[in-house]
Amino acid sequence: MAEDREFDIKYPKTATNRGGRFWVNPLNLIAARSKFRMDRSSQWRDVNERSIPPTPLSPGQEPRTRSFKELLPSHKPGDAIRAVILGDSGEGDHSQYGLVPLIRALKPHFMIIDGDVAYPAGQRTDYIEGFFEPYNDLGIPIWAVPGNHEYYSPNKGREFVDVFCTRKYVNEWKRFGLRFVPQPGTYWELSDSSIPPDSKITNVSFIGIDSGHSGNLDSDESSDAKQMEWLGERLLAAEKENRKVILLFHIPILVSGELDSAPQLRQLHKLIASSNRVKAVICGHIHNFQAYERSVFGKALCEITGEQVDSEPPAYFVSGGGGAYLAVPPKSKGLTYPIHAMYPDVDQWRGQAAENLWQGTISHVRRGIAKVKLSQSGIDRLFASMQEGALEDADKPSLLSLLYVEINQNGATITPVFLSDLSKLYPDEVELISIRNTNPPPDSGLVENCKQNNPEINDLTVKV
Amino acid sequence: MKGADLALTFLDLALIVACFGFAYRYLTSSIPRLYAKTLRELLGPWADQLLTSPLTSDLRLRGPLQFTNILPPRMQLPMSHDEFIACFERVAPGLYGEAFAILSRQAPQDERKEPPQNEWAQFTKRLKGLTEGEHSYEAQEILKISELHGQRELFRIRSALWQLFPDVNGLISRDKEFLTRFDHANRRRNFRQLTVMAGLLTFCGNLTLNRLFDIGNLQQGSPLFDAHVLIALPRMVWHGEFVNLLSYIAGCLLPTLTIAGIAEILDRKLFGTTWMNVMKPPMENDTSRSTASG
Repeated sequence: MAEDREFDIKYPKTATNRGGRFWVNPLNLIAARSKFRMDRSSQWRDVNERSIPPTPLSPGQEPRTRSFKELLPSHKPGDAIRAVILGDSGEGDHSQYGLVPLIRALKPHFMIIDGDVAYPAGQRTDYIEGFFEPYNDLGIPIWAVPGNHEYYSPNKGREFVDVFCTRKYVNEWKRFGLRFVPQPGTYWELSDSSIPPDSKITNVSFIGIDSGHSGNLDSDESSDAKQMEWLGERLLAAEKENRKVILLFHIPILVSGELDSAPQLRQLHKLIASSNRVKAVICGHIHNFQAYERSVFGKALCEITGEQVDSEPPAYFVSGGGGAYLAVPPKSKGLTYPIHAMYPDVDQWRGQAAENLWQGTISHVRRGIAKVKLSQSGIDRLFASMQEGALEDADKPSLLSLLYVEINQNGATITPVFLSDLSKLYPDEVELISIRNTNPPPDSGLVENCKQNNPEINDLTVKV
Repeated sequence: MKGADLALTFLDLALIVACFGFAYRYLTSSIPRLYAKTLRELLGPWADQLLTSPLTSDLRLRGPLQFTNILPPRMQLPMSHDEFIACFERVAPGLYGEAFAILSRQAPQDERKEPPQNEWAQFTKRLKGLTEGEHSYEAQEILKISELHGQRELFRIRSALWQLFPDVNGLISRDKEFLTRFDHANRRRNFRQLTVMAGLLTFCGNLTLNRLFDIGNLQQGSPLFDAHVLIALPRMVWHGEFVNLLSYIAGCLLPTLTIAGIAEILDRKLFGTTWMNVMKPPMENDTSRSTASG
């Protein structure tokens, strides 16, 4: 990476409401526990989705499909679309707020959050503090797929449906300066069906999948079967309409260079492997950025499905560095499935973590815990929060990341963007960037500039 | 001992338990809390907004422990069908709320075939200017509904708008089921409370079946509440006298359930309110209902 210019971020008061010691609070740790919870998310999905009304605006449309036109009223087929995709955002502290200037600078038309929208347990206050307040005044529609933390709520994900799919939180969307466009469900498709199959216009759709409480979609539950059936239909339709698909879901099966044995997503990956229209798969859940070569993901697909993948495998990203505490990065060598790029890598993470003796000690212990593969969720949160608390300034967010998707006449690209790039997007004289600054930098080719300055980023850009 | 004496003893104890139960329920406003809980089960966390909005404070009462009127009333008793509709239409979010407010003002005039005041037409005209920005989606939805049903069919528009809130609409159209559910929850909660109280009374008073016979026969003049048992019980546990403990619990269980059962009947006869009549089932020609249920 090119050397970073130092700058400060001016945080609003709400960013400190939750403080840097969010996970030191035992109540938050208990609310976010994953152990001793039964996974009944597929049953709750059905129950929760009963409160979603059909919209009168798309009477003849596929029930879970919405067009870009609905999201962006002035959009015409073939118009350029800019979107930001990030995962694991909803902590509501400095690290989450720190990404907001970067999002503003990228001027996206809409944003998609790849799960874990509201920590610790997806309750109403968690959505206010971890979703609405940080993204105050962005003025764009935001869609999401539910992560595991959304299903930890006492109402088992009901709040997610209320916020994103029903009209109940319209006042909050308005109060926090966000454009409200309800999702058709917890799993959905965003596409432009008006583009004819033989058109030269780039036709890309986003499909969001609800991976539930623990990434178990292979169960016999009718809701899971329904979701997979729906995905199969949409991928067939994409084939017919000559559309490329960017697939998003929260819990990954390939992460940190290994196949995670816990998630049961075999059926989902069979569909990915069998369709030649899925061009990129984006997951979250692990709080850092990981990119894999297509061939590596192809190898993982073979292993998961037990079948040979004929077509070119999709690009594969784990993009969970959207605001929550950073996970301990895995070792980069000797992995079964080598990671093409990881951010932060072990050195960057150590460099950031070992700024003083206290932080260095904590990071050493965290790394030790990660090495022996002890259950990390609670312990890691606790140590991360202690580390974050010790920093007591705004430097922490500099290791966060998001994905920038641009669809135009030349095609579609997915570019990873890191918060450390923010300094390059603003003129030299800017030393203090306000979260609420509604005047993004004047330069329109922000990502292009960014890529020129950072050959590594250029290398990571994926053409869909 | 005559059977009638024993029955009278049970009746006395049940009356005490029923009175305590009523006082507890009254002081803790447990019916409004149970109503909120039942609504929350059906509507999700949004029920809290519905029940706590300042816009609906005239539909609420001051609770038994809210002595001053510094704050608006906070106790919400189960609402009637019409009250619920009015409550929802007042707190409906954003432009939907505005639309409901205009429609509820204009719909009665529409029914009476009075000349329209054009309030709805003005509203839709304003919506046409909101195609961009935070409100655009709501505006588009309301305009589409208005176009589909025509400007003069306000009744149908209101009905179609209700369809955008399916769980609230479902709750209103199935109010009888909701009340059955609430009534069942209320009775179950009452019985649970009364059983706990009867159990405490039996345990603290050492009112095993044998003892009740003794009291009935007046052979033992010992006081009703016996501290001895409170000391004896941990000793039984400590020394591992589980057989004694189990027989003691079994001895307490029968009087507890009997007292609780009689107390429940007394409670219903003396203080009970059945909420089945609060929201009357829909009448066939009741137009205000058909608005909500679509």
